Amino acid sequence: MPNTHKHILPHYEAALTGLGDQAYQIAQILLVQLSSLKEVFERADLNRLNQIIAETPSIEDKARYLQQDGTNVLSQFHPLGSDLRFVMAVSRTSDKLMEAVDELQGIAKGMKKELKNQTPLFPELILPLLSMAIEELRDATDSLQEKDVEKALHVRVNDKKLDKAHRKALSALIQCASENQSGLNVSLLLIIRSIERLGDIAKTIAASVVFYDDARDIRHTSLKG
Amino acid sequence: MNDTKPYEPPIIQVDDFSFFYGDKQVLHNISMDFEENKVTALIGPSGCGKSTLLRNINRMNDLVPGVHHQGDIRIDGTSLYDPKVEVISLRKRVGMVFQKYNPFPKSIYENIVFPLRVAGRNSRSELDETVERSLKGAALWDEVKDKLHQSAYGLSGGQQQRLCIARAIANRPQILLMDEPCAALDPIATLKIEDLMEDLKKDLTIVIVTHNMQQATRISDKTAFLYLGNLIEYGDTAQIFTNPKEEQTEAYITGRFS
Amino acid sequence: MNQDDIPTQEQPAYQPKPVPKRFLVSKATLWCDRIMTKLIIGGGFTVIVAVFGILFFLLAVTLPLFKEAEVLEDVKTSPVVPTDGSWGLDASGKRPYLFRHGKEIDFLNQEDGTLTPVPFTLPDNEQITAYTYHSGLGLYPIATDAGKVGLITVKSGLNGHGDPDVETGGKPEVKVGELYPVTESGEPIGKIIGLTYADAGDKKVFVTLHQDADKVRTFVMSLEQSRSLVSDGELEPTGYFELSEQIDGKPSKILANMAGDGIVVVTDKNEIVYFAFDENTETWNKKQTIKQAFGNDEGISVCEWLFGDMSFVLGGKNGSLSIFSLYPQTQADGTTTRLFGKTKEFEPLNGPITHYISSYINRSFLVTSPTQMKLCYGTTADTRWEEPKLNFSPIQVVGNHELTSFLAQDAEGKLHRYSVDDKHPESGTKALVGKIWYEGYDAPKWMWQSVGGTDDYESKISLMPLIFGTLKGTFYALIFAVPVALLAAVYTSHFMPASVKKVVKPLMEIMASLPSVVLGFFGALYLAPKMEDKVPAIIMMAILIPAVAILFAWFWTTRPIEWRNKISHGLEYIVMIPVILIIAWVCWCYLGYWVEEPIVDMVRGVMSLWGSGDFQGTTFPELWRNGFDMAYEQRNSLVVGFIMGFAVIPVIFTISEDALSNVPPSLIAASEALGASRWQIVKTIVIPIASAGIFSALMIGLGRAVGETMIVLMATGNTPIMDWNIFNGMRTLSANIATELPEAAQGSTHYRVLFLGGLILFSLTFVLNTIAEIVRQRLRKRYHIV
Repeated sequence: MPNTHKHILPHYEAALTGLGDQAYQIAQILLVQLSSLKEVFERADLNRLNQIIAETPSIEDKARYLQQDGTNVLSQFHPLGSDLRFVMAVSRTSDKLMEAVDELQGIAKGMKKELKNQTPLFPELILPLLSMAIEELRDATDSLQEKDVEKALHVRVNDKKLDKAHRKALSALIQCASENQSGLNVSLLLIIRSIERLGDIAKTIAASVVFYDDARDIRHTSLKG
Repeated sequence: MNDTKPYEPPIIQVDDFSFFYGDKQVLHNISMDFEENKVTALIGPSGCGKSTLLRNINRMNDLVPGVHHQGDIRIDGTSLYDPKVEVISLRKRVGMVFQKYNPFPKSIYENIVFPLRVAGRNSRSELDETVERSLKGAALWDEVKDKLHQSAYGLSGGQQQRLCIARAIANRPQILLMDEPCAALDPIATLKIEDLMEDLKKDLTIVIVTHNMQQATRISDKTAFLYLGNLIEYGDTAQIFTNPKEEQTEAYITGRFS
Repeated sequence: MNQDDIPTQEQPAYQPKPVPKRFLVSKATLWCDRIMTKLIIGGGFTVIVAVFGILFFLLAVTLPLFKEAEVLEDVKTSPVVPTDGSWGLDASGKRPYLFRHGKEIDFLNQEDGTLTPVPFTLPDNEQITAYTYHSGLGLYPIATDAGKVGLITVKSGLNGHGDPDVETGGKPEVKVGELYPVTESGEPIGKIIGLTYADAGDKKVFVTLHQDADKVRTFVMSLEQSRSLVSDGELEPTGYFELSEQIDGKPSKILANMAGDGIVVVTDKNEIVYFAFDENTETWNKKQTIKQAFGNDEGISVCEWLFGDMSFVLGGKNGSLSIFSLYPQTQADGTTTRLFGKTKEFEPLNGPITHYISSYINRSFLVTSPTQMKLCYGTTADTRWEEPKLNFSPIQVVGNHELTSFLAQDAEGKLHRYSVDDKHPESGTKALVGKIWYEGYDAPKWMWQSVGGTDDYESKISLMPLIFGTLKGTFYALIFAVPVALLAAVYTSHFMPASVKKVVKPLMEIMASLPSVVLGFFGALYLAPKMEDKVPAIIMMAILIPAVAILFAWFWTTRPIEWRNKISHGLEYIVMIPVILIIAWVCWCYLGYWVEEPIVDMVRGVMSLWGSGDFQGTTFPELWRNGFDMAYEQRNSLVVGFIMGFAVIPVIFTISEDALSNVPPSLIAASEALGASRWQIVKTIVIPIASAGIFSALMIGLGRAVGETMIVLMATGNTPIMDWNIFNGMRTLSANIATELPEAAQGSTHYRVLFLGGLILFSLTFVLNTIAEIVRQRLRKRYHIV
């Protein structure tokens, strides 16, 4: 059980909190970008889309920086116990956030292509999915920042819903394509899959919160664990 | 089908042991079993009683005036305080290595054969064989085999401590007690001694008191955390240092001590 | 205006930052430091200077003992004076006189070399037929043609320093004494051709040689002072003796001793005959004839008394020089009589011994050969000064009373005057360290007996008995003190429980503070009488206590461990002390006596195996005295050993206990943890490491024992003997100084020799302490002790 006392070394305390804050900030930026994507979807704002694509490298940099910081904390402070688990959780989170940035980039580029091609985007299918993913991601990173295990476990539950919605959306898309006898819109497919991956990322982040709390790895256990 | 093994007592069994310097109680009802051929680390802040507990295992506290104890410590099932126990014999079974290396002002050879000479064994062949075996066991043989008859004080600090370890194992004790053996040594010398502990534990049981938590994590199989004379937590080292059960343990190892 | 002409501004010099106040040192601190440094260095130097100052002072006082004699010829005044007569010298050496023609004595004025004649006449116009000169008494014994003898006394008019005598106002005086006939009848017998005179206080002896026809007869006449109530009476003749029958050959030289009971005659056969006067029979009996005195046929040229008249110096025609002394010699029939025997021999001179003069205050004498002069000292057979090549041949040599100056007249009449400066002739390396054959003893010995009753006492100043005594006292003290102190220190530092140690250590300090006078007093008056009959008890205790202790300890180790664990950690003394006390009490009160007689009988039985078993006695002292023929005294070395032990034990104990306690506890912990028992730890670890300190302690204890004065002074017989016998006394250098220095005349030989004893003690302790420090440093390095 993590201790709530302060460290004897204030700069150790600050380093650990710093790691968590950094992860949270990166997550917030990511969430903002993802929300912007939602708007772009609705209003077909190409400029906004270009802007989003242009801003991704900086988020990547931040994530890389976070990874390095995590290594530094390990070598400087040799954390043990719950601190060790926290640093490992943040480390895993930073990896996952980098992946999330990749997915964000993928979605944005796919949307751009669709907009250029003037193909329908099916917002009524995609947007709810995106919203759910964003919520999951927000919950997961919030649970890390707040060290709230309940929230993290909730993320796991919600992800199931996302999976279901995702499967539904896919089947709808396929049906639509077969009805219209147009080719399957691969870009849309990829976008949907990216969204689904975002959900997985949120799930992993949530799992690392549980590990931090209890040294359990719930990634591969059933919900009952 | 019942295949019960005959009961083998743990090599060291501390049974509800309390220790007093005069009126001051220094150890409170400690109960723990040490496992054979393992390295057990005793950690805890200063004054928590870990050195006291260690020194009780070979009754080195006997000569301090005004001490008394309650409870028992048993080695191989026999209580240390049994009236038939001869303390000198006990100390031949339980060797000790001290924080500040303390070789005798004699040659390296004479240092190592000292425990045999006091036991009355003076045959040249036995002594030679013991010196070679002990120095090899202490990972010092190659470095000193050409200067066995030079003064022990000509060695470096780390070598002197290894010499003291060689001396302590010369008589092949069952148990080796180490009281912060690396506290006065540089990191490389420390690692060399930790390395040899890995080998030694094949034949002995080692109990080590250490302040250095990294050392405890590196070399011990089991760790006991003591605080203010109480045993707070005792378990496998990996578990104690990644997921301790007790809040006090967690606070100590992470440095969140108030 | 060219830019280059403008002089470049100097960079401002680097100003170091001002030093904050808290880094500065106050002047007072610095001054204090400087002053203290100088004081401490000064103190150190002062100590060194003081020690060396003492050393130099001692050397200054003792070095004169080893100086050679200084004999200088006064070449300024060497007058040429007549040779026809017998020269004499006054006490100051400044007014020589010449006995001439049997009618006058001419006194030499040293300023101008003129002679002042002082004539004398004999009653009845008698003529002098023989005379001799007695420089000690300053008179000429004479013999007349009437067969009478008498004395002519000479007063030079100067006192001992050469200043005019107050009584006579500087004028010389010659007085002719009473003349006494040599024979009872008063008739002269032949012509007296030689005589000698001895003044034995109340008795005077004249020995005369008479040429009677072709024989030379020897007569002795003694006079004694009759006593009356009113005044000293006159000299009355008391004996007339003739020795001629007892002398074989013609006597050529006669000597009579100042005790009046011995006469030595040298015959023309080169034999020496000794006569002693027997008080009971009132006769002169021949005691001894010495033939071939030099071991060969060498002729005797000089035979004269050495000061004290117990020895005579014999000079030979080939230059041999030896001394014969009177000492008890065992005869064939087992009795011992005092006879003359050769005791000393000198290096021969390269020519016959021609002249002899001696001092009358010590045993210095001067002999000459035609080409040599040699100043010797009789007791030590030492040559004090030599003139190996004289550039003249002396025809007469005469010295003053103290032999501080002498004259030698050569054939031309020139008088060579010499002054002699030999303040300590009786000292020197041989006298102080070698075996000397003293007068009256039958062999050379080491002896210390510095003062005697008479003026002519031969001072025996060999330091060997004293050095031996110091070593003996130290030895016996240490034999007792060292084992006790060391074992006690080992026990106290490593076996004693802390509570008892707290009491024991201050007790030992108290023991150290006992004044040695008190200890000596206690030893002499209480312990010595008590121990006189308890020696067997003490021997039994010395044997039994260790034996029983060891036996009991062994027995204790066989007891079950439960018992032993109950009484451990230093409490074992509770069990051991009663055992030791009981044994001690039994020995002291009972066993000593029970065992005494059986042991004496047993020893008698053993000794009768080689035939010496027949001695009287049943007690230990009697066994010692009669059986072993060794002295047994009440105040002996055993008592001294005990009492000095009291003084030395605390010193050794305290220092060794400190050293044993200061062994690093980490090493003791290490050896404990290795399963060593307490004794093993002490033997293998503690003692080697503490060896430096223990050695120091032993040296300091040794130094203390060597210098201990009062205890030895009071608790021994203070006899300067050289004997390891434990039941005998001793005299140490320190006790000797304490006893004799108050009565030694300042600047005398005795005084300086005592200081030499002090110098030896000083050097001994200095050397011991230096060795101790060197060894201690070596041991420290070896065992890496801080």
